[in-house]
Amino acid sequence: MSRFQQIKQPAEGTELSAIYREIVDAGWVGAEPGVPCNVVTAFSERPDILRAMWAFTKGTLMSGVLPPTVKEMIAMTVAVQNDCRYCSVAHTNALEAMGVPTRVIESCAGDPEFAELPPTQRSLLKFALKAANDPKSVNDADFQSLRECGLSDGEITEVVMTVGCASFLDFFAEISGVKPDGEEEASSPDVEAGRHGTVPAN
Amino acid sequence: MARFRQIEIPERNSRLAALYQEIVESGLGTDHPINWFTSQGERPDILEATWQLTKGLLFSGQLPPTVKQMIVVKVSMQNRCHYCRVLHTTALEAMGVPAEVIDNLTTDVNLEKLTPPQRAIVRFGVKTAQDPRSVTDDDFETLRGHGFDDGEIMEVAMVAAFSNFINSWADVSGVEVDAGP
Repeated sequence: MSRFQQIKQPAEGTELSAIYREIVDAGWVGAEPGVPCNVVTAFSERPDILRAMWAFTKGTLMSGVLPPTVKEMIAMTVAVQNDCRYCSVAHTNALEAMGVPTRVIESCAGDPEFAELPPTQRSLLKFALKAANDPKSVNDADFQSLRECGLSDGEITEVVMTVGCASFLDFFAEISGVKPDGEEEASSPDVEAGRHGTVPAN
Repeated sequence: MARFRQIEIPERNSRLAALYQEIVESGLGTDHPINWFTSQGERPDILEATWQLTKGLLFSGQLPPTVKQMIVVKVSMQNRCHYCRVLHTTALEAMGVPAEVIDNLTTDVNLEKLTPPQRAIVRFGVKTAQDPRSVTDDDFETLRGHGFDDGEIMEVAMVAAFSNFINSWADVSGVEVDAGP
């Protein structure tokens, strides 16, 4: 359950409905068709804040020059690092939808050496983890390792900003307390009762 | 030492020039934007995204601008980000916040010189910035007790997250404190 009100069907013509349409068109859909995912609807009390977050997300996580799969891998690794279940599930689903093999996804999620990844992606994810965990620990040698992989400074900027955006989303998912999309139904009182073998008295 | 080239003059790049003008007009720079932004000058697409975020979270909203800057200063101290601490302390001074209040904000764990709502907001911001998972329903209740609604509580949390974000770019990019005007 989210700590913030989640408006799923905003009135037509409102600022919220306009942003929702844009977000749904970008593919960020939750369990219900045409409704954005929970980390988005949890912003519904403040369309102005959602507008700012979406502009930032579009320009960092959702676009740029790095391959979309690599950016999702970064977001996945950062979500696991931040112990954010909502975002780990969401980024896993996104990677699966992109056709990334399961062993690669598992390597992003649980292997600090990223052994299943090619060398460039491995360097990139190690850099991303450092930037997420302790930005002060990033040093010139870390930059050099990415430059040796052929990354330009503009691309390194994109890596850091992708990390920043992923951390932001992790943060809001944790603060708001949203559940992974589709899990709300599974934890409704009726299902809980069924799971524990109790039958409502009536 | 900055790790990225800081582009101060957006030659023949009209997109960058327009962004720079808007950033300077907001007060974040004089002849050109502050180093935090010019270090992103090679990527106007990204600069535009970070500027939209800055405008939406720091320069607009419902909370008083001073208390938002207080959150940024305090979180920057927590993250030991010298660049952001200096910049946002200067912002508080420019807003006319008395020196004794700024001094209290940065030195007194009890935040005695802040008003009770300011104190509650700054504490919530610092806590969420350090560990968003540590936030409890009681923390929300405390802010509601000071009259803040859920949308305003969201704004506090987002300014705290924003502070972490700007600290991380300042640290990774290695920008140095801007020279005074």
